[in-house]
Parts: sequence; structure tokens; C-alpha cells
Amino acid sequence: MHRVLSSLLQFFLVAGTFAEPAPLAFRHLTTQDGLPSDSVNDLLLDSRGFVWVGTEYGLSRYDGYTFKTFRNVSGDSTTLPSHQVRRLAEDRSGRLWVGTQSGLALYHRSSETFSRVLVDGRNLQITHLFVDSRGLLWCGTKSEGLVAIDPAYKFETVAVFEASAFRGEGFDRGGIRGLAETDDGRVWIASAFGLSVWDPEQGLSDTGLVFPDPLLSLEKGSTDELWVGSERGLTRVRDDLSTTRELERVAVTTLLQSPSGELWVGTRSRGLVVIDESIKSAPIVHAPDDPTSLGSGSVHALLSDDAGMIWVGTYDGGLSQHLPDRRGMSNLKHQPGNPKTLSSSSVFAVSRDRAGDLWVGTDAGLNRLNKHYHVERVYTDDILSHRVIRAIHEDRLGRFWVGTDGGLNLLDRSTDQVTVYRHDPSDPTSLSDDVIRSIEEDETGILWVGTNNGGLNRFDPASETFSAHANEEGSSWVVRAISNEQPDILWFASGGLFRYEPNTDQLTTYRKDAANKIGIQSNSVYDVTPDTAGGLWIGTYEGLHHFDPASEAFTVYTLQDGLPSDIIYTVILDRAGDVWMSTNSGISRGRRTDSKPEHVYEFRNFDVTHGVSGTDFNSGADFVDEDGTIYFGGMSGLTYFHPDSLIYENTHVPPVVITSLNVFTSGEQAGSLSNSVPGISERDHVALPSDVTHISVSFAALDYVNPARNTYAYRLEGLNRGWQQLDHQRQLNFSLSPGEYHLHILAANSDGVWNDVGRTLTLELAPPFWGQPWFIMVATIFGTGVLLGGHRTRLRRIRERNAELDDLVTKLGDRNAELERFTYTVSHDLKSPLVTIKGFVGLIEQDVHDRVRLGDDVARIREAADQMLALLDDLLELSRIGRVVSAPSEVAMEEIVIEAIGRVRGRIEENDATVLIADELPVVNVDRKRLVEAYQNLIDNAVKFSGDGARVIIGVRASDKGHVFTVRDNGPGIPPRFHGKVFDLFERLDKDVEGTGIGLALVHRIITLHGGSIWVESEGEGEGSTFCFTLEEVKQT
Amino acid sequence: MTDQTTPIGEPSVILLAEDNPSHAELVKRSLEDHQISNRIQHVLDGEQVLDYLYQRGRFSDQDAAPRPQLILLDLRLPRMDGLEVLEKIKDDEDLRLIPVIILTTSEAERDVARAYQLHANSYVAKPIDFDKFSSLMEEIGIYWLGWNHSA
Repeated sequence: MHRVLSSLLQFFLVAGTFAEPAPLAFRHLTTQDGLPSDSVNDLLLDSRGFVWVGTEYGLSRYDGYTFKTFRNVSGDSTTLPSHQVRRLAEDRSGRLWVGTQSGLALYHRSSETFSRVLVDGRNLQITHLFVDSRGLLWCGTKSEGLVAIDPAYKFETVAVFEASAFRGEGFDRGGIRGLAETDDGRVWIASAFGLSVWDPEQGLSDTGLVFPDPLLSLEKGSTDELWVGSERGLTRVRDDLSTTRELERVAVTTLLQSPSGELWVGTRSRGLVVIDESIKSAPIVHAPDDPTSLGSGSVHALLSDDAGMIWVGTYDGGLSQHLPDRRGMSNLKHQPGNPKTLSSSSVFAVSRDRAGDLWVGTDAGLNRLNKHYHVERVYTDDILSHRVIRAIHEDRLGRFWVGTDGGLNLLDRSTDQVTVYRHDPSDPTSLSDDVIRSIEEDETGILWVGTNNGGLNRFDPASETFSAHANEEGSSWVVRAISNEQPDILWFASGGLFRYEPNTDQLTTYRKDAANKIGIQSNSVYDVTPDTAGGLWIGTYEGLHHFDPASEAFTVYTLQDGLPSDIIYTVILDRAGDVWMSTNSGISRGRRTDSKPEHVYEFRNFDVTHGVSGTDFNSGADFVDEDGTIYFGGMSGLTYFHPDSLIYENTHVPPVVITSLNVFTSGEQAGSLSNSVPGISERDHVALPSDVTHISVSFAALDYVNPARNTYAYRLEGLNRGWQQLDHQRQLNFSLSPGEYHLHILAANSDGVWNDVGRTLTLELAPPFWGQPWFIMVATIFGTGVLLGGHRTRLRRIRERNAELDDLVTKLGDRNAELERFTYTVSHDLKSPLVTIKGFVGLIEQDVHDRVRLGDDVARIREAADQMLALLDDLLELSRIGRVVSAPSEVAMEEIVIEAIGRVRGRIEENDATVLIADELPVVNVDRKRLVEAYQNLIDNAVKFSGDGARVIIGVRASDKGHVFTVRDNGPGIPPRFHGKVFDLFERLDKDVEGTGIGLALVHRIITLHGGSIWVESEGEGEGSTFCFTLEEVKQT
Repeated sequence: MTDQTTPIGEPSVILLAEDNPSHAELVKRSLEDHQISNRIQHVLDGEQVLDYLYQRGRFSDQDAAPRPQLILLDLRLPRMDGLEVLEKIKDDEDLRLIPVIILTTSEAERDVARAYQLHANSYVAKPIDFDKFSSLMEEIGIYWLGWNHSA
């Protein structure tokens, strides 16, 4: 069998004969970026959108910006059992499991701590973790076999398979190495020397397959096949258990079946191989001189994220990220030892001649490339007058001109004959400077040659004479680019933008003038490109400019408009009218937009993840060929693409998370103390103590394609502010007065795809001691006293006091307004029934002989008195609820609900309503009496508003915030605009229905005191409403 | 401009906008006791006030909704607030000729000021004491339907 397998494709031997596509470009994250160790063992994308990185020296949570690292602290059992994190898994309830060298740990998101999980009393040395479709967590170990536990039922052990079940001797060589599940629900187990399978009906059995080498990895393929990686190759196992050896002579350490269908194969010291429909890529390796190559040749972990990006965890090379995009940009680079690649990656000029050859000028010669982008010939200073090439031009007669740092060369491509034109101080008709930056031909066949230090030359190829032009600028100036689109007018990029009419020798210069707002904003101009409407696009050191000759006005686009940099080296217009630029930070496309009048152009930026050769580009190194392909040369090679076939849209809607909340409190001592709230990314409500001076909130959009370009917006409800754009800022600092605030965060990925739901964090600030009335009085008296008795030495303190007092006055004003609102409502609601009572008492006196009227009068009095009593009761209750009276106790929620139903029995019978308890309610730890009141109010409301035949369903559902208790009715529903308002004091949506407007405010307060939140869900009018609430532990006061 | 004073012998019509039925009953009884008006039209919310005045909806029958000589308007009304109703009446060239008296439990300065800004013709707070309530109603009737000359 071995012989048969090895006679198949000897992959690494034949790889050299393959056509060479550009190597895949990677971006890197290493210890310099905060990664805890450059040796990565496992990667996991969790249900929240975070990427977890298990390394040799700790576990990290990555949000696109920072690594939050967890390590072992000896003696602290709430930390990881070991620094050495081997494997990671997330179970179906979103719990994160961490397999380490010294045991299994469970991560608690709310407290950011770990607990160690013993399986059958043992600490397992985890080699592999896997969660199957049933939700079982399979733990492969080094020497103790395989254990399956059910995380849903208190981690009950479902199955234990001793090491001896897996052809025992293999366990000395590393135990369980891989786990996978096929669509039929069978779990496959790769141990050192064999492949076993577990079937829920039949249990564990050996497949009997014989592998020539110890197994290392296992992955389920896109169809029902398994990929088995081993010490010396890769084997494909089909569902009939027939096998094919697919790779040889490589140790396959890890495998990833990507959602787009390729199999990514990670090897030990031989890099990566990508297999797409049986087509194998050339090995993707680490190249020490190429910063965009794989971080290290030894791959330990692979991950594909929701945006399709591939993450590669390496041994000693950190994390490498690649965004697969076959329809993106391509690039060419110098590869040492490979003569088919560019002679250098520093590209200064590029052009295609009429014969179809591509010419690339570098700092190490002129390269001629064939249609396959293979270099066929390099012309260097053996033929040309200099090895540095900065300009290439084929003229109308087919003559080929090469601008070098050593003069202008006329190259005969068939004979290699070269005519060199150089500067000769004794000859006034010679070239003014030997360093050629640009060549442009006019309609009469004259060549205009821009130099580095000698300005502009007019060259007549017929007479072979040069003459210096536009001499008003002196003799030594640079001409980086020349444009001759309009007859008799030359534009060039220099120390400003210059317009020159050779016939009249008239030179107009456009230079930066601080007073001229519509003038050019830079004196370092790199490129000038005419558009079809008679305008010009200008690349400068200070932004992209557009010039309108009619109005002589420049429009400037910078970083703030979305460009990747202000330094724009070259500008090219494509056929669709899009503006393409090379910058010192990648490539950018400007597209005219009608949707945003304030930004006429919108920019989309491209970097190495899109196939761009590198970050820094060169001026003068741009070209667009006849079929529309665009070329940009830079310091890391040549990038080329066709705008029409460039399809890259990251449509991933990024999850938004709060990554940290820091709370600053003022102490007696100088300075403030900062506290970080643990588990903030899991919370949506935080109650803050009274001594908080300010808070700092950080958040992240979990899209990793280009995190620096993710954008954010926020709104702080409670401060009456609209949406504020934050661009790329992802931290906010607030100083808040007491009250309840809702911080809403929205975010977009780097391609502008917004998450419109975002994340909301409710912040509740308790009133501080100085908000208490007694303190205000004392403070006022004290403040006044100081003012009266103040003298010089106290002046500073007085000023401080004044500031504090101003602050107090503002806060007092706020509270007064609140009080006024309260009194206004209460006085009206109390006065109204009194008018009725007194009125009908008066009428009774008149009606004393009219029995019918008398009865009605009395009834109205009773009603009004009852109304007053209800209002007073509710008010008293509301004031009492400020503090939790009784200690929380364990009680069955069902008991509470039944008691509450009993209390509203009258109303239920009156409305002929049905109240159902739909689900099995859990046992809770609450203030029983208050919870009964809460349910009583909710049920009473539900029955009241649903009218006759009301149907109220009491239930519970699970969510990531724990139990959500629900009270659902079939009433008229509540329009969404009132969803926030219903819990406000005295808010009555339907004044036709009796009520004091306090009930829901009361429920809200009870739930909040239990650390929970309450909200209403309703599809709108006629759809019924569901009141939902959560509970946490009762706060200790 | 046409003469819109009530012809002799025609009952004066008062439009009463009051959401509290007991208060409405008190107003009606007081006015009846003093023989101020034998036609009190009672509506329960703000929208009904406008429906009545524009003879829309269930008030589209002209006989069912004769033009009132006086409007008694409560401030806290369901569906449309009294002040908003007031604003709409006073914005209408024709309806603004009908005197509007704000009759409410609120004595808040804010409400008084706002009502006059919106051109209320009078603002009275409902007295708690019934005798005062009753005599207030009488005086309103005498003044606004007797002494006062309407447009």
C-alpha cells in the first residue's frame, strides 16, 4: 500500500514546474502587537465574535485592536491551570472550554475567571477538544483516552474510552490527535496510529485503516470525506473507507475546511498548502526577506472568520492573516534565486509597449515581462547607461525611450543598441540633468523630458537637440510628471502645479497660499492627470486635489474624507470615471457619489489583504494599458488589477461589543481611582455607585479585515443627544450626573457595512451624597460662609467651592424640575377626585328627596374616594420600594405567580379572562413579596387592557442573559414609540382605562432592584404585548 | 361678517370637553340648576372637540352638532391635549370667534400662561368646594352667555 501511495503525486518534487502565481500576502500579529506568545497552538472564533488565541504562554481574547490575556497565577484556582494552552472549544450554550497542559478549564464570561473541571476526579492533559452536533464536549487526552461530557447537564460524563481502546501503543506518541464529525452524526477519532469511529448506537470501533505514519490531524471535508494529516503526508478517506494519499513528505499538523470550499493544510516547517477541488497550490512558505509572507513555516492552528479571512497560528512566527480573494489585486515581487521574478521590488516605472510586453523599471534594471508576467529579460547597466530606471516611453514611431538616473536612453529592442543622451556642461543643446523623472510626447512628436534637478527639457528627436523650457523657475527644479492632454498646454507636477504654454513660453504656477481657501494646499505635487471634463486630478503630499480650470478652484480630499493617507503619489482614471491612487499607505479608489452631497467622492481603500504588494508606493510608477488594467509600482513590488474584475465586498455585519468599562472614583486622596468592570461585554446594564466622577467606555466592531478602518457612532440617551459620528474612535469618556443613561453604539466594518442594531449599555448612576437634600443645605450654608469671611489666602479654595456650588445649583435645578413634574401630576390627580366628592356631597344636599339621583351621587363619591386611595397606596408603595425590605430567599417562581394571580382574581373573573402558566418556572433567589407585586401589576395590566376574554400567558425563555420571564396578552398591543415610555411614572397610554399611571413604574423599580431589566415586546397595535424581565442576584445594600 | 348672536328663544349651546364623567355631571347639573343653558354638548376627548366643531365623524349631522356659543375646555384630555385643541381652535378664522374657557383642576402658572398665549378667553380652576363650583358655573353662564357680546 505504501508503494502505491508514494507513486502518486510527489507533490514537493513537481511543484517547481507549476506556473507561479504571486505568493499569498499575509498581515501579521506578534508579541509586538500584544500577542502573549509568538507560538500559537489553537484559534477559536466565539459566538460573540471574539477571536481567542491559545498560545504557549497564555490565552488571549482579541477584538481587532487589543489582546486581553489570561495566564496561570499559582495558588489561584480561578485562573488557568497552566500557561500552556493547547486547545479551545465553545459549547452550544456559548461557554468557552480551555484545554491546557495541566487540565481542562471553563471560562466564566461574566467574571472573567476560570474554574477547573475535573473529569471523574482527574485533571486531564488535553490534546484535543471538540463539540459535536449533539452538544457533547469531547476531550482527547495525552494518556487517559477520550472523555465525552455533556456541558448542559452539570458536566456529566457521558462516555469514557480508556487509552487501550485506541490501539494502546500509540498513546506513548501523543494520544488523541484529532476529532471530527460526519453528517451522519458519527464522531471520528484520530489517535497516533489509527482512526476510530464512535456511533451513538454501536459505540466505539476501529476503522481498521492502516496508515504508514502516526496521525497528527483530522478534518471533515466539504463532501462526506475525511482528511487525515500524519507525520509524512495527507490522506483522503471517503465514506466507503477507501483512501487516497494526497500529499507526501510533509508533516500535516492542522487542517481547515474553509466555508468557500478549499482545504487549508498546515504543515510542520513547510508552510501551507491550499487544496481546491483537487488542485494543490504551491507551498506557501515563510520568506525572511518578504514581510508579507507567512510568519513561520510551522503551522499549528487555522481559522476562517465570518468575513472569510484565514488566520494562521504559527510556531514562533505569531499570527498571520490572509484575505482570500481571487478576483482582487495581483502583485509581482522580486524573489531571490528566481530569475523569472522582478530584478528588484523597488519599482519606479511601468509601461506596456505595442508588442504587448510589459516593461518594469526598478532600482536594479529594466525588466521585460511576457503575458504570464514572467520576467524574460533584464536590461541593466551592462546595456543601459544606468541601472535605476524612472521613466519608460514608446513613441509614435515605435522608438523606445528609457529615462535613467544616468541620462536618456534610446533602446533598440531587437539589437540591444543603445543611444545615450546625457548632460554636457559645454553643450547648451544637451540634456539639462542626467536624472530623468518623466517623459511625455506632444502631438508634433516632440518629447518633453522632466528631470530631477534641471527642470523641463524639450527634445527634438529629429535634430537630437535639447532645450530648457519654463526657465522662469530657475534651472534646478524637479518635474515628476507631465500631462499633455490639451493641445499646446503642458501641466506638470513639481514644487507646485505648473501650467506651461510652449508656444508663448508662458508659465503659470499654482502654489500653496494660506489665504486662498480654494487654492492648492500643497507645494509637493507628485502627479497630474486630466479628467474627461477638462479638470485635473492632482496627487500631492497634502491630499488628493481636483482642479477646475474654469473657476480656478481646487477641491481637496484627505484622510478625513476616507483616504488611507494624505500622501498621494499617482492618480489614474479608469473608464468608469473612478479615480485610482497609489499612496504611501496602499491603494485607494475614489468614486463619485450622489447620496452624500457633502462628500462628492467616496473612497475605498485596498491593502495587502486585497493583494496589494505593500504599503509604500512611488511617484511616476503608474500605467493603464489598452484593456484597462492598472499598474502601480512601489517599494514592495508592482500591483496590478483590472477595475471591472475587482470584486471585493466585505458584507460581514460586524458584531458590536463593549470591551471595557473603567469607572473613576474620587477618593479623599489626590487623584482618582480607576476600576474596570469585569465581564462588561456580557452585560447590558451596570449600576454605578455614587462616588463615580467619570467613566470610560471602549467598544469594538468585531470585523478583522481592517479594524483600523471600522467606524463607530454613538448616542447617549438620557443626555438628549442625537447620533454622534465617531469615525474610527472607539473609546468614550463621560462625566455624568445621577440618573439612568442608555449608551447606544453602532459600528460599520471597513467597507462601510453597518450593524444597525449595535449594542446598548444602560448605566445607572446612584445619586451621590451631595445630591441629598441635607447636604445641599449644608453645602449652601458652608459655601456662603466662606464667601463672606473669605480672604486672599482662601481665594483659590473659594473658586473651587464656587465651581462646586455652580455644579450643585445645576444639579439642584434638575432635581427641582423633576420634583415640579411630580407635584404637578400628583396635585392634579389628587384634586380631581376631590372636586367630584365635594361636588356630589353638595348635590346630595339638593337631591335629598330624589332617591334615584341620590344613589348615583353616592356611587360617584365612593368611586372618587377609591380612586384617591388607590393613588395614595401606589405612591406610598413606590416610595417604600426605594429599599429592598426583606432579604432575598430561594423560592419557586411558580409559587409567586400563583399568589399574584390570586390577588387579581376579581379582575380576572370580571373580564372573563384566562391566565395560563405555560412553562416550567425555575427557582429564583428574590424578595418574594416584591416579585408577587410585580407579577400582580403585570397580570392586572394584561387583563385590564385586553378586555373581555383576555388570554394571558406566563412563561419563561432562555437567553444569553439568563431566564427571561414573560407575561403575554392578546390585547391591543403597544406601538413601538411607546415601548420606552410605558415604564415612566404617571404615563398612561389609554386614559379611558382606569389606573394611576404608577403600576409599571413600580414593576420597573422592583425589577431594577433585583439587578434585572424589563422591557415590552409588541408587534404593534392589535398584536398583543409581552412584558419581559430578567433577574439577577439581589444587590447587597 | 354675519351676525352670529343667538336669536331670542333659541337655546344657548355649550360645548363641554371633559374626560371625567363625574366632573361633566357636576358642570351639567350646576348649569341646569341656574337655567343657564338647556343644551350642553358633552365630549370626552380632544379629538372629539374638533370633530364636533368641524361636524365630522359621528358629528357630521348638523342637527346633532349645533355651533356652540361657548366652549368649556379641560386641559388634560385623552387623545389630544386641551392646549393643543385650543391652539387648533384659535388657528381657525371661523372657530376662533367662539369664546373658549379653560376649566381645569390645574392652577399651575405654566398652564395659565400657556393657555392665554394661545388666546384662551378665560381660565378658571375648578373649585373643590361645591358651592363655589356651582356659583362659578352660574357666573360663567351669566357673564359669557348674557353680558358678553360675542363676535
